[in-house]
Amino acid sequence: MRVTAILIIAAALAARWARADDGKKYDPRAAFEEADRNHDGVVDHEEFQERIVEVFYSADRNKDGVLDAVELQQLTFPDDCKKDPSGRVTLREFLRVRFQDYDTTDKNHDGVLELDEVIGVYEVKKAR
Amino acid sequence: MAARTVTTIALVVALALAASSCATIEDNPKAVLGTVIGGASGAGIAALAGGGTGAIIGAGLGGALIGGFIGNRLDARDKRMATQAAQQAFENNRAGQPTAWRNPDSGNSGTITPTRTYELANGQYCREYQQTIVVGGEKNQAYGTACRQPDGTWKIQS
Repeated sequence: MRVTAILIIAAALAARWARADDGKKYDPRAAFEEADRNHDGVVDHEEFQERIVEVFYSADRNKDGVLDAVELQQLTFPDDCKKDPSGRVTLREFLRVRFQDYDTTDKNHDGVLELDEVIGVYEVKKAR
Repeated sequence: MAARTVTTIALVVALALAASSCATIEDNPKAVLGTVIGGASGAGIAALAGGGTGAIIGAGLGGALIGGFIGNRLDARDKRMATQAAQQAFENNRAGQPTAWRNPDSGNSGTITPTRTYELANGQYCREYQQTIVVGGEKNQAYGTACRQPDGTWKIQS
């Protein structure tokens, strides 16, 4: 019984550490440069929306307009963000959640994302 | 009894670790701008004519560009290769990633690059694109929009 308990904890920790490893490979500067389509040094609402639609489209492998559980494994999208009981996520829902992240990241509340704000979120996570 | 308690605690810990709030960036900051999966950078070369899943329907690939004067200067293989390149680009490429084609027989070539993706109210994907065709050494550019049909083909809208 104790072995089972230890295995459960180990599996949970492994899953969490695996997600952290994903974060280490991520280059926030490169992502920012890709999202900043007009190269003005900020990512505005329109650029952010275009970026998130691209992320959604690339993850939607069967192009059916929704992300299922398998497709969502490629992304960070917690279960408690999903409204559909089937676990499927529409583009509209995906955008809603990501724009919450946008507002959280926009620390100076000027309506756009600067590189230091995006990196700031990343550094906070790394420091934890 | 003690074993059961340990198991219960383990389950609670496991659930607590697995659960996270809807604020996705708290758990993973890369969620802010996300990652566009696949679609390696650089120009892909479309499969040569024969085979592939090229299936563009509608007013002719590239709209006015291929359908008009330039289209008259492309041979059947050119058009088939351009069609296959477009299908691949619309379906698989990330925005800004071109797919190129080249017909060694005619010497004609081209690229097609999705530039923006959006979804219509009915859930249909559409992609704006930029197309370049070099025919007889002359470079021509055009822009347009293609929308994905329920059967997986892409239809040129403009």
